[in-house]
Amino acid sequence: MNALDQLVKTLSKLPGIGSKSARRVAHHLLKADSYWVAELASQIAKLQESVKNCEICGNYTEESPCSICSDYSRDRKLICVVEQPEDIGTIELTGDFNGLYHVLGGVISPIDGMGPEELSIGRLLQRLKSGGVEELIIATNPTVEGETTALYIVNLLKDSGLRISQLASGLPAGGDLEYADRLTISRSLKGRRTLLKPKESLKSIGSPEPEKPLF
Amino acid sequence: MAFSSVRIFQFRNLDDTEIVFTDKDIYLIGENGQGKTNFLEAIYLLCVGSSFRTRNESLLIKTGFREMSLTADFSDEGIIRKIQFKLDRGKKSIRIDSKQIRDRRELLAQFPCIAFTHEDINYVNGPPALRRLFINQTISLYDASFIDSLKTYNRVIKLRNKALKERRSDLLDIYDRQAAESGLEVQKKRIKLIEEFNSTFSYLFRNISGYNINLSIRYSPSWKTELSSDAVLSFIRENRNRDMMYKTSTTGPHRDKIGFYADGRNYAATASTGQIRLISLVLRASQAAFTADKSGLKPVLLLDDVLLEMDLKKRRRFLDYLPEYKQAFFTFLPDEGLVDYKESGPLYRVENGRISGEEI
Repeated sequence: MNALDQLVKTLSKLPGIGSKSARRVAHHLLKADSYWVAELASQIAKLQESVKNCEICGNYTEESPCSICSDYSRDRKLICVVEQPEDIGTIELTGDFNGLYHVLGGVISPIDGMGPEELSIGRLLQRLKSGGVEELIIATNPTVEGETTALYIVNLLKDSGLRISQLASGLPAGGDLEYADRLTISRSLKGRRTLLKPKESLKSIGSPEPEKPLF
Repeated sequence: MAFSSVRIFQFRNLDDTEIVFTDKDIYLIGENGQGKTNFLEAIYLLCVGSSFRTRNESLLIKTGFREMSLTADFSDEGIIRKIQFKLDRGKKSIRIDSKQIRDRRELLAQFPCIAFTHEDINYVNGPPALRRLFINQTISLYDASFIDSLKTYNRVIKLRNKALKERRSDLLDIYDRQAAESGLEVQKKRIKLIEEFNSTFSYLFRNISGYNINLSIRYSPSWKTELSSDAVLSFIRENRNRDMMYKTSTTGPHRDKIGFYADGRNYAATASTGQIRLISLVLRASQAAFTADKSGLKPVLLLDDVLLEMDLKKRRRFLDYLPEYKQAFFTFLPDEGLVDYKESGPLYRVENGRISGEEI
């Protein structure tokens, strides 16, 4: 096997790149400016060495603690728990969340050999123990495993006095009911919010309906 | 919807062809092994997006080829529309008017299709899992969110079983709760369905069989508790030690029992082969009637050689009691007395994969 074939094989392991695209990329690299190719190679080589996980939240960062954890203008009473570091970027893009994060590094799934001890739940508990946090927002994916992980964390913290919430799942913004899939609509129905209550509780309009606690 | 034409391309043993339909009742005649059932399967694929015979979709492609497609024109309240089912190197695509369908449930909700086959007797005297499957299928035909509850429940049980094997009590606390919640949704919908289904089923069985018997489906859920997630949860917890011992979830909707009872007795346990066949036909007929009623859509019916199993009187009554349908495809052996059903109009002969139309 020559160097070109070898590169094609290596490239085709990348997500979203099949053997055809890999071949295209490899041929492109072969013809490209050699300085640029060397620069690309060195950036790739340095990546894993320079980018690490933040010692506090688990986010990708070059300096630990990361820029979010060391930003004291952020609301340190709020922690949003996510599955993967890339989820932070997604939430940050909204600009609506100004608290801190905690990356679990996956979800509980014994089938895939992922128990709670494989996740950074212990470190999350430590962070909470050191005080100052009032609310935890659990932003795991709405899958069975994401739900298991959320419930597991809630169970551990049932006596902590913390407020724990979960991201709502439902209709997409700007979406028409007509175009939403059934599952989304059925989830939105289950997670509906009250707009008007019967008369005796008029004063509580605006605050969410008190729900039975999970544990 | 009713099909006005179907184009077949490299599908099973059938020759590439386009068949035009003008009737509501379509009759296919041929010896066994010529391709009659394959044709019914083609119609089913177009309506439902999956086969009633196999999960291995590569079998749908004609031997020696890599792709297949079925394209049909159908009338939808007077408008002619096009639907296509295509397999190309293992990739399945379904298009309506050239627009790709992403979720098969979209299809189910639009084109109810009920297939009557010989294998249906397994729903009556086969393993309990098949009866649960029949009930699940019937609910799914009109309630798409049931599929979601069932998928969630099955996933939870799979994870819970793994946690049982690893003796993870901390995780079981969570899985018990998730199983109780999703399982209860499944159970509640089964209770409701069977209750409603029974009135159709008992009525049709009495009238088609001519027996003076009040046959009904009896549902014995594995969780015999109050229908609240707290009650179910404590029931699951009481059984955890046993689950640990067997290393599997021994209670829940995946262990529900469903049977056919008359006057308090398990009727199917002592029924003759003929009676079991009849029950299975009435099951499908009830499913068709029930689905039509729930969705407000008339179904397409596929009847694969099943009339042949009944005596003439029952056949007549069976046809009389079929629900209103958009279109029905019947298969017959050449020596069956077709004149009992049809006096004129087109017939379709199926011979060695070739389908040809002719007038009676």
